[in-house]
Amino acid sequence: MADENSAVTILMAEDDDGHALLVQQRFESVGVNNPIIRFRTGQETMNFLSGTTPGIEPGKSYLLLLDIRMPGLDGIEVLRRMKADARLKRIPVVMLTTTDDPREIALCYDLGCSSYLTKPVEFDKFAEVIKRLGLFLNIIRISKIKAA
Amino acid sequence: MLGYPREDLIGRNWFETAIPEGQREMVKEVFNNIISGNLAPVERFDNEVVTRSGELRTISWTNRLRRDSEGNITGALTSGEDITDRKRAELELIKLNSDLIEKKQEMENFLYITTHDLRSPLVNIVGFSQNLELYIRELRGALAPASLPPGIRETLDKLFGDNIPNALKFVLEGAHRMDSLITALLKVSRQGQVKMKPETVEMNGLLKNITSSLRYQLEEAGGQIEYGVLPPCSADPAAASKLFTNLLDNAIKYRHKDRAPVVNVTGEVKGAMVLYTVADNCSGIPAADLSRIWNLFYQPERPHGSKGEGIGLPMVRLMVEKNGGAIRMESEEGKGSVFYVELPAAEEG
Repeated sequence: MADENSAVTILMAEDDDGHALLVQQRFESVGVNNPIIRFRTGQETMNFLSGTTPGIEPGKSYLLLLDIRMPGLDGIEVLRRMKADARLKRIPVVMLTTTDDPREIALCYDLGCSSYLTKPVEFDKFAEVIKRLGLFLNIIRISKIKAA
Repeated sequence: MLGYPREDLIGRNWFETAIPEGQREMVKEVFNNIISGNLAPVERFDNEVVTRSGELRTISWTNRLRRDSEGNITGALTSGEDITDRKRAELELIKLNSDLIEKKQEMENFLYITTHDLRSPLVNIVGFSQNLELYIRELRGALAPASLPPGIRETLDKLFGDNIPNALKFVLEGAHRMDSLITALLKVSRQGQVKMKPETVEMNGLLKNITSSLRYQLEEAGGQIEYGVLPPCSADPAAASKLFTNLLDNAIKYRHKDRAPVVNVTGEVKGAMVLYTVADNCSGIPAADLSRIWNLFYQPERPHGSKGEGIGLPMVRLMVEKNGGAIRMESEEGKGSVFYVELPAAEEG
C-alpha cells in the first residue's frame, strides 16, 4: 500500500506562490514527499487534465488540491467540469479555501469534492488533515486513471 | 394654469392651444367618451398640457356629467389639478429608491469580495510567521551544542529567547486580530446575501424557544424575559429568531451591575405592521453613543465577560430591514433601553 501511495502525484491548482509554498511545506513536514505538479490558473489545470498539454498519464494516480478563488476559471468551475467528465470524475479533489464559508463548502461537496482545507494550515492541524487524506490516498488505488 | 389671460383663451381651440401635438388624438378620444356619456373609463385622467411659455405640465382631470331632470346629458364638468411637481417628486423617489437598492447590493457584493480577498495575504502572513517560529526553534536547537566566542551566546539567547519570539508574537497577534475582523465582516456580508423567505412567525413560540436557549445565561444572571400574548408577524423565521435572540442576549450581557436583568417584550399590530418593543433595565447607552450603536465594530464596554465581535446590532438591523421592517432604539443611561422593532404583520387566515 505504501508503494501505491508514494506513486500518487499531487496536483496543486493555486495562484498564490506563498500559499502554494506553505501547502507544499506542510505536506513535507508530515512526511508526504509525493511529487507535486503546480498550476497557477484554473485554465492551466484544465489543460493538463484534459490532455492538451502533456497531461495525466494512464495508469497513474492523482490527487488534486484545488484553490477555490483563482482568476479566470475558478476552482468551483474546474471541479464542476471534472465531475462532468467521465474520465476525470474519480480523481479525488481537495478544495483549498481561505474562508470557512459554509455555503461555499456545501457547494463544493454538492459538486463532489472529497474534502477541503482552510488556509493557513497550521502544522499540528495539518497532521490531522493528512490522516484524513490518508484515507483518500488509500482509495486512490481504485480511482487510477484508466487508459483512454 | 396655462398662463394665458382669460380673454385670450375664449373661442380658441383647446386641443390646438393646450394639448401637445402627439397627444391630441388620444385626448380627443377621451373628450368624445365624456360627451357621449361613456364616463367610467375616463372619470379620472392624466395628460400633459402646453402652457403659454411652452412648458409641459401634467394635469390630473376629474370629469363629471351634468344631467337635466330627465337624466339627459347637458354638459360635462371637468376640473384639473396640476400634478407636475408631485409626479416629478414621485419619479425622483422611485429612482432614489432603486438607486438605493442597487447601492446596497453593490455594498454587499463589495463586502463579500473584499473579505475573501483580504484573507489571501493574511494566509501568507500567518503561515510564514508560523514557519519562522519553527525555523527559529530549529536554528536555536542546531546552535545549542556549538562552542561560540564569549558574548555571542548571550546575544543569541536574547535574540532567540526574547526579541524574535516577541516580534513574531506581535505579527501573529495583529494577523489574528485582522482575521477576526474579516471573519466578522464576512458574517455580515453572508447575512446580507441570505435570501429571506417570509412566513408567519408565531412570536410566542419563538420567544419560548429563545428563552429556553438562553436558559443558562438567564440563570447565571438571575434574569427574566417577560411577555404576554404577542401578535404574529411575517418574516424569515431564521432571521427573526436570530434578531430577537441577539436583542435578548444583549440585554443579559449588558445588564446593570447592581440588578438582575428583566426584559419585557410587547407587540401591537399597527396597520400593515407589527410593532414589537424589547425593553430592558440594563445600564443603558450614553446619549453621545446612541448614533454609534448601529456601526460595525462599535463595542460598548461590557461589564461582564469578554469582548464580542461588534457586529450584533448591525446584523440585527440588516435582518430587520431585509424583512421589510425598521428598528430604532431609545435609551436612558443607568435605567435601560427600549428597542422598537417593526415587522410586516402576518396576513390573516
